[in-house]
Parts: sequence; C-alpha cells; structure tokens
Amino acid sequence: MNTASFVDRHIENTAADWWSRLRDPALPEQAMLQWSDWLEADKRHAAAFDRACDLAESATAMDSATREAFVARYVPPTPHRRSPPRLALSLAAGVAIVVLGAGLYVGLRPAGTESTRQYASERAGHRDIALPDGSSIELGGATSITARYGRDERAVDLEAGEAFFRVAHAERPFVVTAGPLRIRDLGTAFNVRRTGNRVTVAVTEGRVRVSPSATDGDAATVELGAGREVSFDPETQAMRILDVTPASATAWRGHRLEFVNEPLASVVENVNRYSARPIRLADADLGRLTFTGTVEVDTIDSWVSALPRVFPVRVDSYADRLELARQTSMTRSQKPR
Amino acid sequence: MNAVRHTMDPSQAAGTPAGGKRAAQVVALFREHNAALVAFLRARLNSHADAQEVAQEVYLKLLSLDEATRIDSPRAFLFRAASNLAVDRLRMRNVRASAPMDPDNDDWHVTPIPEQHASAVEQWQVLRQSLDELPPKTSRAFVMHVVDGRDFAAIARDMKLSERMVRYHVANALAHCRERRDRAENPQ
Repeated sequence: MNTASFVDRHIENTAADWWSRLRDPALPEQAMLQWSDWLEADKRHAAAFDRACDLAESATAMDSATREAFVARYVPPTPHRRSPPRLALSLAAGVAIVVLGAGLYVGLRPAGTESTRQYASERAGHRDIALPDGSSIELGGATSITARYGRDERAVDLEAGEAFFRVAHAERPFVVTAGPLRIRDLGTAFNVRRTGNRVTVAVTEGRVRVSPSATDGDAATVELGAGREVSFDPETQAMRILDVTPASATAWRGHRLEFVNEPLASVVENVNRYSARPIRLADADLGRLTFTGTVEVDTIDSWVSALPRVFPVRVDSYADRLELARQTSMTRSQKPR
Repeated sequence: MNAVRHTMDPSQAAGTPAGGKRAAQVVALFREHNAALVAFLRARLNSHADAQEVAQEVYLKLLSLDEATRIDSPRAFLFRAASNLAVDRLRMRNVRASAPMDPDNDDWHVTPIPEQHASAVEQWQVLRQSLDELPPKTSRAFVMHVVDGRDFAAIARDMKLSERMVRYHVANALAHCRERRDRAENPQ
C-alpha cells in the first residue's frame, strides 16, 4: 500500500462499505450473493476486506477505560442517559443495547408522548428487536409489526407473520393485537403467529390474557399459563386451547416450522414466509386438508416434493412458483427443480 | 463426518462411503466460497475465531442433510444458513454477557500485558487522531457502533438519522481509520 492509487482507494472504500452493509442482520439474500461475487472477483477485494475487519475487530480488544474515554470524546451525552453497562464482548448486539436503549428512551421522550415504530423482516430472514423498555421481539420471516409506546400502554400490532415476545416487567401493560385477538400481559414470554385472521398464541413463561380484540370488556377472555396455547379459527370463530411445549411453539427460531392439525392453506402461507419460490394452491379446497408435521425452512422444496405422498396432490413446478394441484387419475407428481 | 469436525477442509469427508453426492457438493462449495463465507461471518460476528467456528457449523449442517434433499441454489443456502447460525451465535453471546460476572475477574482477560501495552496505547492514539480528522457525525457513528457495540437502529434513534445514513458514516470512518493505520504502520 505504498502507492495508494485511485483503484486501491476505491477497493478499500468498497470493502468498508460492504463491511458496514454486512453488519445489518436483515441484509437481503440478494445482497449476500452480490457480496460474494464482489469478494471473489479479485484477490485485492478479499485482502482489503480483511483489513477492514482487522480494524473493527481490534476495537473489541480495547480495555474498558479506553472504551469509555472514546465514547466520552465522540458521543455527546444525551440528557438522562444512564451509563451503559460494561460487557466483556462489546460488539454483542442485544442485551446491552436493550438496557442502553431503555435509558435513552426515557430521556428523549417527555411522559405522555406516544412513539410509533415499524419493524419488518425479510422473507426467510429473522430479526431481533430490542424495545426501549427492555422487552425484546424476535421476528420470523416476512413478519411486520408496529410498536406504539404510550404512557399507559405498550402496544404492539402484529400485522402478519410470527413473533416471539419477551416482555420486561412494568406497570404499563404490554398488549399485542393480532387481528381478531388481543394478548395482554405484565411480564412473560410468548409466541404469536398470525396467518390472516387465524391466530395462535403460545405461552412459554408466565401468564397472558387473550381476548377478542373487538371487545373491551373481559367477556370471552381466556387466561393461559406457560405450556398452553390458544388458536383462533376464523371459520368457526372458536378458540381452541391445547398443551404445547415451549420448544415446539418457538421451533421457528431454530429454523423449523411445526404444525399440528393446521389447514394446508395456513401451513402454505406460513411456509411462504420462508420459501424462495412461493407455493400456491391451484384449488382452494386443498387448503382444507389438515397437516401435522415439521417443515425445515432450509429445505422447503423437499418438503413440497414429498407432499404427494401424504396428500392427493401433485406438484407443478414453474420458474416463479410451485403449484399444488388436485391429483387426477394416475399422473405421477412432477418433481420441482 | 467426524473427520470434518476436526479439520478446516471438508474435502476429507469426500472419500467416506457416507459422503456421496452431498459431500461432493459441500466440497465444491467450500472450494469456491469458503473465503467469502468466513469473511461474511467475520463481519457479522466481529471475530475471526468465531467466524471460522460458525463456518464449520454451516458445512456440518449441509453434510447432515439427507441425500434426497434438493438445494435450489447452494450458494444462497450457504449464506442463508450462515446468517441464521450467526444470529444464534450472537444470541448465545448475549446470554453469556448477561450472566452475572465476577467483578474481580471482569476485565482480567482484556487487561493488556505490559509489552503489549505500549503498542496498544499507540494504536488507540492513531485511531483517535484519525477520528479527529472526520466530521463529528462520522466519528460519532463509528464509535457508537464499533467501539461501544450499539446496533444501527439504536444509533439511528440517538442521532436522529436513518439507519442507511448511520451505515454510511460508519463505512466512511472505517475506510479512513484503516487507511491512517496503514500509513502509521508503513511510513514511507
């Protein structure tokens, strides 16, 4: 690097740019492929990227006094900001940031002001969100939520998809609205999956109260403890309560989707939150078949190609979609590519 | 499979009878994309050692898929799996970081030993000088993210910028500081 030519400079800048793009956990898959194209295109790219990583990584070796000195010098203090906890691993996102965010939030927002923020995840992507009060939400693929934090209530609207909530204890109730259902609690962990108006709430810790979101009173409220799940079926308008293990309720966090007696239409819609090629039902009646089993989100195509073994369907593979059609006569299932 | 657990090169599993087509596919992926995979994980985890470990987990995961499992785009699968496993790794770190620590031992492993100390001080001095040459917003975003370990969303909130702008500042600062460090280490 004695002669920092224009080209070298450009490579170094691009490397730094990629480094900061890759730091975003919600980076789209397309960008990851572009990234590997770039890195593999030229040896100098890989070398420049390594140097960018070296510099960033060296900062993790900073002793806490030096780190504090840097923060004090370059980060102007925010009013009422609590001094951040010192963690051994300074770049671990999450817990530390949750606590920090809490201090900040209290400082910046006058009491009574409502703050609204939207969060969404990519298809097949997961996203961890640290809320300003210390609560956290993990979003499954293709999931969107809106968080509204007011003085009296912490409200989250689950518009579509699936999310696992860990709620920090506080006076203000934490309320999740998922279409037809409202879930209220004061400090616990639970999973909510919304597929249109079909909603399943599974409690892994503590207790929650689930009620129809259309009513304000306590009518038709069910209280659920850990290890229980309630499903709302929009067709029958019934709430069904079942036992569930925390591991199976949040299996998606380990990249598996588990279903018990779920209509195929709802299964397909959930799988599509992860599938590179969307799956369509050629015949709406097929959607009423019920499915029980596990889908690995990494190998969705295999799962689809195995469906003709359990259901009277055949799979038609198109460039932009996989289609499930009613199996007629003896036609063998086409294999999706 | 066991051979892979102990070595960086999964090609050693290729000859085993259990390997077959899947192993051959993993070997091909390793040859073509291992450098990009490790570099990707290195940026995600900000640790070269962790990146190499997680890359191993990615290959093991691929090898453990049964032969009937078709993979549409192996390269996309590779990065998707890596991204997911990186999330798991960061989560694991958080659990460890939030566990109560022995206050006496807190900084024990990051306290530099005397010989390293001088060069560390010098190193931070170069970093400080480089940051001083940057616009305040650029150095602030960099310090918040790289030194203080806060994510882009939190910094964006704090600085009242979009996450994209935060990322832009961090990248600019990183490029500048890296170039200054090179010059300090290889004076002409």
